[in-house]
Amino acid sequence: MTGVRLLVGTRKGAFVLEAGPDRRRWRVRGPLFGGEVFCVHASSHDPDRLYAAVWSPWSEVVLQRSSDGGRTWEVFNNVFGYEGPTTAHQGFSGDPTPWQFKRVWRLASTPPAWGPEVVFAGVEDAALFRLSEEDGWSEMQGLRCHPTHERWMPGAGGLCLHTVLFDPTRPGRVYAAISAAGVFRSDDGGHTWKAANKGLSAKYLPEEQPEAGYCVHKVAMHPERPNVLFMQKHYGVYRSDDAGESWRAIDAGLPSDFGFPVVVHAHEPDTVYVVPITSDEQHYPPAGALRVWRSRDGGETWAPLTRGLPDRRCYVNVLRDALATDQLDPCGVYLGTTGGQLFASADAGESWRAIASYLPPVLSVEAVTLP
Amino acid sequence: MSGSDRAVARVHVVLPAYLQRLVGLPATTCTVTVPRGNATVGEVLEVLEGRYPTLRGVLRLPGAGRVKPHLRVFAGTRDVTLDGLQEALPEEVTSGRAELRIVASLSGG
Repeated sequence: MTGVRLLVGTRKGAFVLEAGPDRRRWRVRGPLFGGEVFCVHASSHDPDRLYAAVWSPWSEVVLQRSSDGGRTWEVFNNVFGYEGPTTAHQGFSGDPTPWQFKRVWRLASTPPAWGPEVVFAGVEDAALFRLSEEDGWSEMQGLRCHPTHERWMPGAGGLCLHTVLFDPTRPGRVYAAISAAGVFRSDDGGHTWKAANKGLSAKYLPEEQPEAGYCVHKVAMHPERPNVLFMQKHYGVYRSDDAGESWRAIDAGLPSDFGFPVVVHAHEPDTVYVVPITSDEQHYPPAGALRVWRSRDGGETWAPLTRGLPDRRCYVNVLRDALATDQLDPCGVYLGTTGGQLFASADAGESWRAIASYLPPVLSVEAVTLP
Repeated sequence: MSGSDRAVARVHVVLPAYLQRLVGLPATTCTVTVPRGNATVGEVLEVLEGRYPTLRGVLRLPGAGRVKPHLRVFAGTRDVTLDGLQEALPEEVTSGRAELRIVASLSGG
């Protein structure tokens, strides 16, 4: 391994940071593009092939791609249109609101075990698109037209499809997570979908366990154990051991069950990281101390990671895509804040240091391990 | 002016500066030739998107019937943003005396 490349999306452009395997000295490039960058994603087939989802009020979505690790970029297909029936979801007041394309939240490339790369885009208002050279972006409309769609509603960030996970051992199995709708699973490459929300609870809904309507903030999977999923929800950290068929809460011992990101250690499928946030009203760490909490037993017990993180008067948030791990050993963990800090740990979270400060608010971090 | 020149309008277009950087345009101004019988904003955009494919989906979405919400279109000094993409451009633009300007609104603060 020659090092790590961090792909960082912020409210004002993207940044690319690179370091050698010791992860001590980081070179920072950027800002790139200028707009809000919700996602910078490296192809699972080629770490130098990058995709970025940029949004600005004027041009709205502009997708950029690079084939040289982010040194040069070109605009690629920006044309998105919903296909098939016109549908409506609930607005904040429950009012039927027609689907309207707003932005791209997530770009994800299929794993090499699936064959040639296909890029998917999760968008707001929630839908999944698939890119082909001939046809551009085409919607996998089975998801948006799922029988539960009339009860989907936006979270504070919008009705966004923010998580796309592929099961590398089972071509065709895709998970999509939507705030506020829940998790959906497809076993046929995204054509048909089933809701995968059994066992979740939603204090904010009158029904005890509806089929959909859950404000899922993020879902994570270890590629070598793809039937196990971890979820940070708007109130609740959960685990599924059966590919989303059922979920159980694993947040006992955390200082708050609210938060946004969740990631899994690269080499220990039972080591999970979350960043507890005080509440949905108070988007800052409990007691003003920024802590990453780690479980090394799949969520049975949790402990705070504190060395090098601010321990008082810290009122930043850590957004759903702003926590990432690399593939080195020991595993690197990276965290971006809405205060523009980027913290890195080269020892699986034991100790942290700021590798960049005064960036714009960080929206997303992806760590690419360079061969 | 030859017969073929009379059949076409040469429209001088001014694009927002940010687009030059974002999608890699060679300049913020260009001249677009459209059939005089179909000299509309929509036709000008069609030609522009053909010439610079990176503009597709950036100025308008397919089927939307208008440019994106934070863009405005001026024919000379007249705001034609809400006139629809199929309205005929005024003679001062099709004759080349005035420019067709696509302007980014001041929504950046």
